[in-house]
Amino acid sequence: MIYIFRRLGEAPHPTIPVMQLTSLEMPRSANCRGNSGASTAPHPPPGAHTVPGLITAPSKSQDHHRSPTLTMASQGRQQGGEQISLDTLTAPQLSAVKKQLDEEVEHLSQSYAQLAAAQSKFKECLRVVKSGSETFDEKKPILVPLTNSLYVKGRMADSDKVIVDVGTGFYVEKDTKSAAEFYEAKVKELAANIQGLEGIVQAKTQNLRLVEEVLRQKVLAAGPAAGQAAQAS
Amino acid sequence: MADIQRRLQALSEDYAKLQKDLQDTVTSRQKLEAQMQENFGVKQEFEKLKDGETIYKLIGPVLLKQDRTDAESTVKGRLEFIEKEITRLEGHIKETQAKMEKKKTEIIQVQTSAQAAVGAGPQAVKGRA
Repeated sequence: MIYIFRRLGEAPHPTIPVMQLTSLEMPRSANCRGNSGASTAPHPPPGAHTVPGLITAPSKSQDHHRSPTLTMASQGRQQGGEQISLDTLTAPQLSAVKKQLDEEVEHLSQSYAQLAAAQSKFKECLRVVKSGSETFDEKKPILVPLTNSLYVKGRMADSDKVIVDVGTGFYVEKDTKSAAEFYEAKVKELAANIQGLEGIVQAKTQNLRLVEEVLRQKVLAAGPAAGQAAQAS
Repeated sequence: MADIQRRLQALSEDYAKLQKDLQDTVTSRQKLEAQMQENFGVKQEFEKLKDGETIYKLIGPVLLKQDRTDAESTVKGRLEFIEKEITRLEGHIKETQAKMEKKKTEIIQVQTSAQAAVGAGPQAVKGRA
């Protein structure tokens, strides 16, 4: 499970591809990057006249109330990749974007927690392996658990060798020093992954805030203007 | 009108089916990626193996001693298999995406024609009035 995230670190900086916004299409890159399994476009309820998301041009009423404010393009230079101005999007499109970003952030945070948990497990192994004679004393008797509540007395036969799970059902007998090296490498590797993921989560959250801001302004702008239009007629 | 609506619904159902298919394929692609990474890690571990370090394989509840060359060839075989599977799935993903693209164009076509029909409707009424 934890190995999935190595790719995450290599993923390009998060951008909002145009295709995602204007059509039902679901670019695979989005899935590989955030593997957000839930990033599918909503399926229309039976009897719906239009397919949500298929609206490629803003409808007339929304067109009037465009408020040219924040654009993603201002960040685009550092982020690179495909950028579009959030202002050109309609409110429904924006909320679709927001929903998707929400899901991605959620998923990435979960992955982050999983990575941190895996890392702490490896750290625990490292601690035990490094504790040396404290744990691995051949003279001290130990209790070996046979079941949850049944123990037998035992004695360490070989205090220098440990068997390490290297994955996919393979185990390697190592001395404690080399086992410590193994766990150190694992912890380091995970730390790099965690750092990469952190950056991605931050960028996504930033994007999410931006989208929320623009959406709020859109709704506010649409409110009074709609009222005026009603009065005029 | 009802006819167009029926067609639209059938089309969007097809589209949703394709979407689910794509989703499933992408999920298995991700699983394969994870497995590949794990096997890759094991392979690297074997390469770093020092003298006197023995490989065991977990078979059921027991650890069996295994030859290093045996273990290495097992992992290599697995990696090869996974790579093949990944290429196969990539092909499938591309295919599904192409199909979805086609369906989407169809949906848009039907939708535009429906909108044109709706737009023409009121005008016709006005003309009569």
